Amino acid sequence: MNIPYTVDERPDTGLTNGKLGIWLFLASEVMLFGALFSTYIILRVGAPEWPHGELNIWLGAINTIILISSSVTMVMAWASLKMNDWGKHRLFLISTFLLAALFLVNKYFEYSAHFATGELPSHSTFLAIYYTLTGLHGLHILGGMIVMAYLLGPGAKMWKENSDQFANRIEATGLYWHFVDLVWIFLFPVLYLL
Amino acid sequence: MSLRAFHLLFIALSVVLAAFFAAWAAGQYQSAHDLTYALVCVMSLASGVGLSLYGAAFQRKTRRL
Repeated sequence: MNIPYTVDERPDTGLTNGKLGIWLFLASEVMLFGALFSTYIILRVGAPEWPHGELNIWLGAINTIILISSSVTMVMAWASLKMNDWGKHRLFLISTFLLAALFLVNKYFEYSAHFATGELPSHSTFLAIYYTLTGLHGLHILGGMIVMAYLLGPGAKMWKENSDQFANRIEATGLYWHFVDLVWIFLFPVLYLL
Repeated sequence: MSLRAFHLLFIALSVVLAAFFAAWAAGQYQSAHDLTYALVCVMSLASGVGLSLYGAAFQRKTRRL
């Protein structure tokens, strides 16, 4: 039995089931990160003093550029599919995957520098919330990479069987990816600059 | 909301971040007088302008998607 409304929009919601599903998932993600951001605010407001300059701003800025670039390549991967250009779609999706990997490599170097000087999560409240927020965000990046790897690998054969459904899957992946990038757009100034 | 609309929202927020980063770098330059911060401020402002132009072009070219 086929899953209904994967291509056509449901009359009652005006959305495909996939798009409704990804937005419900993103709503739960907003609550998850919202709770952690609230925790950060409460901890910071209640702290007698808050450390500044403990993080490498330049690495954080480079990672911001990487994620903004990856959002562009992701939307181009979807737009290429809509214009039936399979080659460009593959190129842009692979670029997004590589940019995501580059983000994690940078994060690895950033974490390593902290670990080398004994700056573990137990070191201070600031580092505890820093590792929690960026660690959870990093896991989301990894999750997006797994989905992209599937869509580049075994999942790609759907393009020949049902191109509209495949394009919808890429769009759902793009929505998730933009959400993950959006979280970083808030994390960078909050943790690195303020 | 479609991916196209979400992307436009994301680019708009990225422009705000670029402006904020430029303001931060300008503040650092005023207190430290390090030319690196002045350069970062200019580059950040240029990035903001670049992102704005990209957003406008993206909106125009993907209207039919």
